[in-house]
Amino acid sequence: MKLRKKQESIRNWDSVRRTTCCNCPTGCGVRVFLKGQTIVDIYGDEQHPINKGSFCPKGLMSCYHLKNPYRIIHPRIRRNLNEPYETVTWEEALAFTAKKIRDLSEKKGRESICIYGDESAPFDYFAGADLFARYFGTTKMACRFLPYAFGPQGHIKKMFGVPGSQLLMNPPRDWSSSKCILLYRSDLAASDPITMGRIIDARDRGTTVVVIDSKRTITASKATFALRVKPGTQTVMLKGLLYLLIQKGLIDRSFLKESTIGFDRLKSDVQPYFPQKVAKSCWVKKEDVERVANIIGRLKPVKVITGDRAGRAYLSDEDLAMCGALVCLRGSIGIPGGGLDLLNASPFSWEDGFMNEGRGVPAESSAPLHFSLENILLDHPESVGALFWSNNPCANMAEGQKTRDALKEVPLIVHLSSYPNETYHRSHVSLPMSSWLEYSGLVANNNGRALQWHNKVIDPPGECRSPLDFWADLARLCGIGKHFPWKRSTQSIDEEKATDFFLKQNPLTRAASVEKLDPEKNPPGGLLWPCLEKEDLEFEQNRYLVGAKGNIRGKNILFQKGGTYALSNKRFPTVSGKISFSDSTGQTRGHHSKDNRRDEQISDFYLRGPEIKYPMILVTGVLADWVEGFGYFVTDRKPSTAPMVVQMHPQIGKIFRLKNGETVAIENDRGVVTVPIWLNRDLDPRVIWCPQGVDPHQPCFGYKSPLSLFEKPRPQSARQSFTMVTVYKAGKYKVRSQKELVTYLRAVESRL
Amino acid sequence: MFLKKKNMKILFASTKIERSKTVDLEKYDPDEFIMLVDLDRCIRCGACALACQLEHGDVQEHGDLIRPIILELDGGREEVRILNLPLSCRHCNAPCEYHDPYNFWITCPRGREKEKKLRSCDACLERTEAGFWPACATRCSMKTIFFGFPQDIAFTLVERGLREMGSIDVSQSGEKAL
Repeated sequence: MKLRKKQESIRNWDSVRRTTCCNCPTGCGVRVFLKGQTIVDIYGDEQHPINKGSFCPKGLMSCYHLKNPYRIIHPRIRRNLNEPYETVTWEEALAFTAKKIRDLSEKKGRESICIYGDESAPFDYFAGADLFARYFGTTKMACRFLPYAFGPQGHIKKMFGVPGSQLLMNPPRDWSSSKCILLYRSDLAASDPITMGRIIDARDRGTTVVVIDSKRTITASKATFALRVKPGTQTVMLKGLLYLLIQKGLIDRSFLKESTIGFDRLKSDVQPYFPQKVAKSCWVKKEDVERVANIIGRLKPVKVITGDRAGRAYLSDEDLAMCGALVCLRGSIGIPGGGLDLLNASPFSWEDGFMNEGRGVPAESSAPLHFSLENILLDHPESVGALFWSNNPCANMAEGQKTRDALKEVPLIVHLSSYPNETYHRSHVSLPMSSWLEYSGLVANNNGRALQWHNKVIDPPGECRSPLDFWADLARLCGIGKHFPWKRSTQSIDEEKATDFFLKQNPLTRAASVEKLDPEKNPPGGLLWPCLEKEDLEFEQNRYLVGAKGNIRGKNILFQKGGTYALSNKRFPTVSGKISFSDSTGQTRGHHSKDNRRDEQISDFYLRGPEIKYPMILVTGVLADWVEGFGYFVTDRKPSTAPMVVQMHPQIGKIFRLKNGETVAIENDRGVVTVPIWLNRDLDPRVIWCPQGVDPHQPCFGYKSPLSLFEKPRPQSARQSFTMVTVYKAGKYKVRSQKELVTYLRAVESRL
Repeated sequence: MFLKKKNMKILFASTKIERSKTVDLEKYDPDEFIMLVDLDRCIRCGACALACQLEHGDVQEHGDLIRPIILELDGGREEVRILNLPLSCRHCNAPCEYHDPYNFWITCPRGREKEKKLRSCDACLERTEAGFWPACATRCSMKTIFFGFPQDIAFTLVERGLREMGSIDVSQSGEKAL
């Protein structure tokens, strides 16, 4: 008898539903096994071209959210933050919110209503929030809090004519055709595990995988060649690689001549980054830089992958521009296996004006197109009247106590919650949200440039509703309900009509409709955008693709030679019709370049001053075996090992006589965080690593978030990816040990 | 109940361990089950552990029954990567001393104790009797774990270059390979 690997439940079930997982931007197909109205099992969909039956622990944990006793399933309100919450009905909570909003907008103006959004929020939240903001009359809408570099003002838009959030050139099914993949600052194995499968597939087929990151991550351990560089100097490393490629002539001259302008400008930009300098400021060996440049320079096509959900907020304009330049230098654009793939891509970017076609208030051109929460709270605290947010943004907020104090002054904070995390504890109104299994909706943010649909499988518990439902209700009470016409009389929203409306509004998805997306009626996998015409809804006929089976409907490779980009008559929709390096210097981007130069200065003067207060570098990342769903951590580790997630090199542990699991204090000007430490050799001795998303109210890691020690982001700029700190054994600060630490770190520094 | 009489061996394969690159068919009893873990693909996501918990009980209740074992190569010298091995032995929750990294064979005396034996890996008896692979092998997110008789899994490592998302679709593989 031969055993089969089949994604099939052996429990007692009577029906199977097909849907799409929404936990991370991979967009895996799922089969949910039901007995009546209860979920008995969840398995990956073997016929789905994205995951082929694979399913990661985040997705498996989705059943856990359904029966978790801590889940918030009833609306709650309170008048001030010192009182406990009281449970009310949905209508009461909304009436309370709407009345307060009306009062506040009369008192402080409509601009004072601030709707925050981050990458973890679903499509429905953004769609509803942005429509609400537009008709209510505030410019502080959810999509304007997304990373600056990926938006319409980012440099990458000037370079390729397409904003970074829409620049995913080749979908993951094509990655195996690549000869060299550069994974830049993204730990895919931890953030989006199933997307990592494609990279491992490619490596098993002989593709060289190069990883540039500041920690030896699990992704790096699977790579052919991994460069562990100094935090904040990843851009320097990229420029160093570009310098070597140009210097050694390992560039595609015909492509550069034909399709780009401003190459001389790029050449002079990277001129100062010769290998000795790069090696010194990046903490790597000169030979390694040269070796990687040789690998990249001798293989074609070359692909650069970056911008995963967890790490994209830390990517600056310059990072993306240099990644794009690397692909251009190797002439790998518009061909199978090449391309610049900025993950978590979405066709919707409302701040660009896609929602304005004939309806609503147009966004004023003078209004800023990008905000950051910390800047609003700290620089203009009086301007915030009400704040809406979902999931757990508090856990990743910088500037420690200052931002927390500023939050206490905000008159109304509304949390669309699933779990009692820190964000919930800092809000006035908590409205329970459905999980992705409990309502239907569009999956727009995707690592594969696909539009997908997730079906409602079971009824939501208690009074949980979808985010779009909440915005429609709030709009009704604020007198702008006519712009949300999809509300049924039965109190729930008609998601299909609403989604069709949003798809039609966006020119990039105007041919798509829910009927064409539903995985139960169509081939699984959804549709690739841009889909403008009916032909785009069919499987592409291309000799590089396997055929209909294992593929997704739509156009696979963007910017192909001889073709035109959607909504334009040129191959690259820039002014000149070519990829433009011309303004890649600091002149037009002012502060961004200054940011990077500041990082470089820190690296130049690191450990060289007479007195060093904060000698260590704190960096952040994500953990794979911690499942974060709806702002709540679940782990399969033992309780005794679970808290050991902040990592440090054992040599530093020796200086302070620390053992695994003992508590350390991490300190800088912005505060102190006391956490148990895990001594780990994967790190450089000068670096401490902490995960994102922890807060004092989490079940497994109830500590103050180390991210609160970070500096607030500058306006119109990326978040700081590292901060300078010092460590000591909790409660035992000794000047002698501090001196010993600096001496040791200087010794490490001088060894290179 | 054909499975109960059979033994099960767990093998780990990694290009970093020279001796475990291939499965030697003659070394193994053709009637015994082999679980092969391709460490080159393992990203330590923890899906195997979670799958075991979902199959055998509640997530919260048995949260600590299985864990990955960390194997330090080369005596744990500073420069050497630590491999993370998924392992579904549930005899105890202490670090394991009874293993041989190249030919994994659970020789733990605790496994013979009566109440511990109940908690040890049963290769998902219900699933294997229905003709399916055990839960950890089925649910492995990178398709790292293979399960079967020696002749079924001997070629899995050789066929690496043909896999798409870890599995081989025979109808497609020829076309894809060209």
